Amino acid sequence: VAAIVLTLALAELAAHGFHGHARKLVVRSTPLRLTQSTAPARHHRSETPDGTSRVRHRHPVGKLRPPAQPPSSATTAASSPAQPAAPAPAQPAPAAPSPSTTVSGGS
Amino acid sequence: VSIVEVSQTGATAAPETWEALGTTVVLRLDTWDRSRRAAGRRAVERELEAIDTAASRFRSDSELSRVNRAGGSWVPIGPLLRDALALALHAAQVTEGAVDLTLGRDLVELGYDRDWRELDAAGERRDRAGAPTGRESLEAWRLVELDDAPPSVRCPRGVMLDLGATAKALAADRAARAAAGAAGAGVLVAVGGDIAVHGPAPAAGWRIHVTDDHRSGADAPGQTVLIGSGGLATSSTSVRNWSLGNRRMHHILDPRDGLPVRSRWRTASVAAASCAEANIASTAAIVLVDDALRWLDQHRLPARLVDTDGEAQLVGGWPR
Repeated sequence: VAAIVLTLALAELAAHGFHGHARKLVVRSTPLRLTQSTAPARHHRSETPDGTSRVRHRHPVGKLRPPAQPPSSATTAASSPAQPAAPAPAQPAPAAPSPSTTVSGGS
Repeated sequence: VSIVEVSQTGATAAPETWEALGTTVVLRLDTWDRSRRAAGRRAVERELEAIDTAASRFRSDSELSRVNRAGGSWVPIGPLLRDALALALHAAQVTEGAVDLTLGRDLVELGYDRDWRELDAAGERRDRAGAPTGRESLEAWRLVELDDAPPSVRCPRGVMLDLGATAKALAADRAARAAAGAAGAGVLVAVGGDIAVHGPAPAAGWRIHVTDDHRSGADAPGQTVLIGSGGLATSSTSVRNWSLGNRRMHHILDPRDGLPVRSRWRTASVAAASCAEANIASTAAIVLVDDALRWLDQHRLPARLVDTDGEAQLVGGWPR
């Protein structure tokens, strides 16, 4: 009986904080597959049997959200100089740079 | 120098440009009102300073540097770094590790160990003996633990976090939202070419020229598009280049070996519901190489990928 009691006590200790993080139970990041549904960022809080709080990140995901509207065409500038010359109809003339244009490029 | 110009709505939209986060910031506010414009600028500056203090790998006093020095211990953090880390983990999850926040040490070993402006200004190019050896552990991001009560983080001993790309894009989103609120007007914020817009857009949309390098002018080779909301980001292997011995390096690493990715794409531009999501996808596209088009299409993300020969491929409804 003593052995059983000792075993149960050790098991209890191990389950409830023997590792020094009894009140900081954190679930490691787990992989999500691309097929998972999209959900808003939120956190799920549940109560563990010993009353400690378990906070788990549920990252919003599965997917990245597309824009409300896809980009629309403005004026297409010249092709990249590294691009092979295409035997196609003449490219539209490069538009004059618009002063209200913002540049997106690698940074 | 401020350039006064006429926007598509007819209102003035003088862009403001300055340096922050190791890159160039462009702010466009769709209002004439000086006090509202000033309020918008202040809001952007506050957000950028906050993200720098929280998430810079190059500032020894940043919260992130404290985490990186913690040697596997739990570190209390503020809500902003918590959000930035959650986003970076989200990026790793949704890209299945193609965008990896645990590449900090690899970047340092490759010579990218300080703010890019300092490397650039000094004209310094690292030339160390020996070649980089590659990563010792794969998918360390799965071992990063983030807690909310109170906000704290623990990353495995020996792992150095780098939030560079996603933190910058998060800053753009936050700054655009804050500036729109402060100025009561439509706002575009570009942080190193990663663009977030918020509030009412000009009638035709915000006009954006996508190209290899954000420092290029609007007449550089590329394509001009219009967006009305969300964000647009571009990643490129043709910027932030340096030499290590005889090898040419760039800043987008392959998580599998910790070395600059050898991609068929030199530049990827993606539009998404936010700048952060666009940035995650544009970085992933470079890393995913042959899977990029399928992956982008699967996520219904409009994108323009330019290969190393300069050929552009469009996917997800990106306009021609």
